[in-house]
Parts: sequence; C-alpha cells; structure tokens
Amino acid sequence: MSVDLEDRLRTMYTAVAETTEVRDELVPIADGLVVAHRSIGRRRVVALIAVAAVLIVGLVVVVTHHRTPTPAAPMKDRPFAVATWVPEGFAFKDATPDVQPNTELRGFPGVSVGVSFAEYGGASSHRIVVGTARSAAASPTPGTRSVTLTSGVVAQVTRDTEFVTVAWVQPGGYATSIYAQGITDDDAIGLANSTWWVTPSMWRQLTAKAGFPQLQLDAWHPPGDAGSSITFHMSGSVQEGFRLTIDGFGISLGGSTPSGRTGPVCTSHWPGRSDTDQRMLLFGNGTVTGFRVTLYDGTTRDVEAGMPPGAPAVHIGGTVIDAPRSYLNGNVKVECIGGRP
Amino acid sequence: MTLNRNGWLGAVVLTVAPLAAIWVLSRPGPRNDFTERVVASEHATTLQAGSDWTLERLQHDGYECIRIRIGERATSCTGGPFSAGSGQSNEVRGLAHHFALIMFGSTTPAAVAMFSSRSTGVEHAMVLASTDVYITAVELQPGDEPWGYHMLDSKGAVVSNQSLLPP
Repeated sequence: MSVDLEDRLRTMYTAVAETTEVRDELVPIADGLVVAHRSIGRRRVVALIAVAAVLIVGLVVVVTHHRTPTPAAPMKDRPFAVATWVPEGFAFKDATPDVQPNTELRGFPGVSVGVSFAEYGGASSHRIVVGTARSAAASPTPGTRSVTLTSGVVAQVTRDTEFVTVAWVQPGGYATSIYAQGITDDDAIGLANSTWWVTPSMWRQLTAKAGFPQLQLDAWHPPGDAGSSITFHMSGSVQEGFRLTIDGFGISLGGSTPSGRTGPVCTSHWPGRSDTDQRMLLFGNGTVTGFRVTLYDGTTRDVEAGMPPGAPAVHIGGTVIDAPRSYLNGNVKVECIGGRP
Repeated sequence: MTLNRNGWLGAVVLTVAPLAAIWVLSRPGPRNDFTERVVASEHATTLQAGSDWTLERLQHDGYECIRIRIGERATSCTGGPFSAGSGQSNEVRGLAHHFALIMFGSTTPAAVAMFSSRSTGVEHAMVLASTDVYITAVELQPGDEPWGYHMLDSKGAVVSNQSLLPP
C-alpha cells in the first residue's frame, strides 16, 4: 500500500472517530423467557426464508420447463432472407440492407424499393446473392423453366452461360431471388429451399460481426400433443449455416433432407436419448398439412403439421407414443396428409 | 454505540476504499506475449516481414517452430503436427502490436480472408512454413477487433471458416 493511501486512510479514520457519538444506553439483561422468545423468532425467520427459497427455486424450475416461446413474427414481418445452406466453397461475405434506389432485385424487373442483399463468395470470385424486396405485389419474370420449391411455391429459373437466377414470391411474404455464378441449377434451387426469412432486428443480429456469432433464434413448439415438450430453434451462424435443432439433433433446410426431396416425403425421429422418452417428431416438406401415424397395433393417429417461423420449406408435428421406443422402432408407419406430388 | 450520518458515510468509505485499492493493485498489466529474448547465435529464417517485426522459422531443440520477433524480443516458438485441412489460430499481443497468427495444413498455396471491425474479407497470402504447413501473421491496427476468417484454397474457394470471437 502506498504511503499516500495510508495517510489518507489514517485521516479518514480520525475523521470517523471525531464524528462518532457514543451513547451509554441501559440494556436490560435478558431473562430466560426473552431469550427463548428471541430464539423462537429466529427459527421462524429461518423457516420463512427456507420456504421462500424453496418456492423461488420451484418457480424457476416450472418457468424454465414450461415457458412458452414468445410468439414468432409472421412472414409479413420478415422482409430479409438468409440462406441456411450454401454450396461447398462458398461462405458469407457481406450484407446490404436497403440498397440504393434503382438497384433492381434480380428476376423482378422494376422492383427496386426496399431491396436487401446477402452476398456469399466462392472460388474464382464467383458469388451468390440472396436478395429480397419489400414488395409482395411483384411477380417474377418468366424464366427458362419453372420449378416447385419444397414450400410448394412455383419459382422461375433463368440460366445463361454464367449466371442462374431463381425468383419467387413467398405467400404472405416478399419477393425473393437467388442470383448466382459458379453453381449448378440444382444448387441454386437447394439454396432457394434453404431460405429462412427474418425480421429486421434478427437480420441485424445475424449479420453483425460478419456473421460469425453463434446464435439460437426463433424458439418454436410444433403442433401436436407433444408440442409443448418440444422446442425447436434455428441454430448456427450466417458463416457456418443454420439448422433447425432440438436437443442436439438438427435438420438442414437445403440439400438432401426430407424437405429437399421432391414430392411429399414424411419421416419420423425420436429426439430423446432414453428408451422411455416417447416423443416422436414428424417431418415433411412445406406442402404437407399433417401426418398419419399407424401404430404397431394397427390404430392410426393424425397429427397436425406446422411451419417453423420463417422457414416454409419444412412442416413439423410432434406426438407422444404410449410404448417404449425400442418396441416401436420399425413398427410405426408415417404417411403424409396433403402435400403436392 | 450509534453513528450519525457522517459516521456511516465514513464507515462505508473505509470499507470500500481498501477493497478498491486491492482491486486496482491486483489488476493484471497489459498482455505481453513477447516473453523470450532473442539469442544472437540462433539461425532463423524470415518468412514474413512487417514494418518492425518478422515472422520467423527456426530450429529449436531439434524441431522446427515459428515465432514473431520484434527487435530483441520474440514470442515463444510454437509448432505442431498439421494434417491437410487442419488449422490453428492464435492472437498475439504485446509491445504495442496485435496479430492474428494463422496456420493451415496444406500442400498447395492457401490464403486467408480476414473479417474484423475494420476489414471485410481482406485477403492475406500465406507463406510456406514447412513442407505441408502454410502460415500468415495478420497485423491488426489498434482498436481493430478480429471477428473471424475464411481459409481459401489457391482458387479462392472457401475451405473452412473460423470464428475468432470469444465463446
């Protein structure tokens, strides 16, 4: 300790001594009864504190296990598009919200208001641009061919020698396009299927620090009787891509996952690790409205399918099967209800 | 004994002041990774040179290792087995310098695209450190916060990306 600090402390102690009043007060000597009374009082206080602590801990446990996610923003409040998957060799480079007027969204001639881009770079300076415009009324220019995305929306695909454009309008959402160089048409369609739409505040979070922060967004319970015990998140980073995850299990929206296949394909998955965890997840593409589960004894059960927030490529449901999982494996059949071929 | 207002104030100050003093005195000084003194007899090969620093390879206790040197001070010499595609990055600070030191196991030339609070995908060529390891020291300016980097192959395709953000 420095001499200066010592001096200052000494001065302070002296000041305290000078300003402290000492009063001689008569303190009655406690008799046995008073001591006993105080002791009982202390015990009561301790008991009350213990009860309060137990109640608080219980409340925290109940709240954390049964809290309902904040209702997710609807598609109309999600004007920004993020590719949750990109082809090998590419990675996120930059994002430009609300670019200058007169910059058209590829595939939508004349649409130049509220245009935003996310740009991904790859080999030989090739790039992929995922763009959106805050214009739900626009329709894409007819392409060299059209394809039905896994969300059920028809997109226009235009290919020239170097670039491919996939353009579509997401129902309830916005005009969106993929404009890419150095990738195949299938990859461009895979990118379109992987699109996740987000709100302006989520977009800021996602693209901050060049998209490197790891995030977990859009908490969501799927419909079905197991719904409240199942919480999905969109997890990952813009740099590494995003997956819909639950308890360490995840599905990607693009590529060869159920949602990436053509036609309705419905599958099931058991998210828990223990044999007694009887929650079953049901997956289909975005055109599926529900799932018919045929159990080991021949009975059937219909489970509603729902769209995860901002991710129309996939529909998910959840149900609880009243039997150990080891018995069910191979004895449960899942079929799609609805869905376009 | 009862205390008046000044007494209480003094007591609080007397309690807080020593704690504050202890906290101030126990705080670590600025980080300095340049802990080694350069020995004149060492034979080092310069791989990369900056304004007043060099990235060097040298033989140390029978194995090849890498260090950054500023004047007569250097970082401890580090190395390690690298297989193709594996990478490693360290932040190096001290002597008013801040580096991101990035190593990558590859037999073909590679580059790094650095993302930080002051750069977006600025490319830095890597130099061959040994037969199958490429390396680069990216010097960061004061206040520049590194966010992450892309490892690029000779065609500029992204082989991998790595966050430099604290977990």
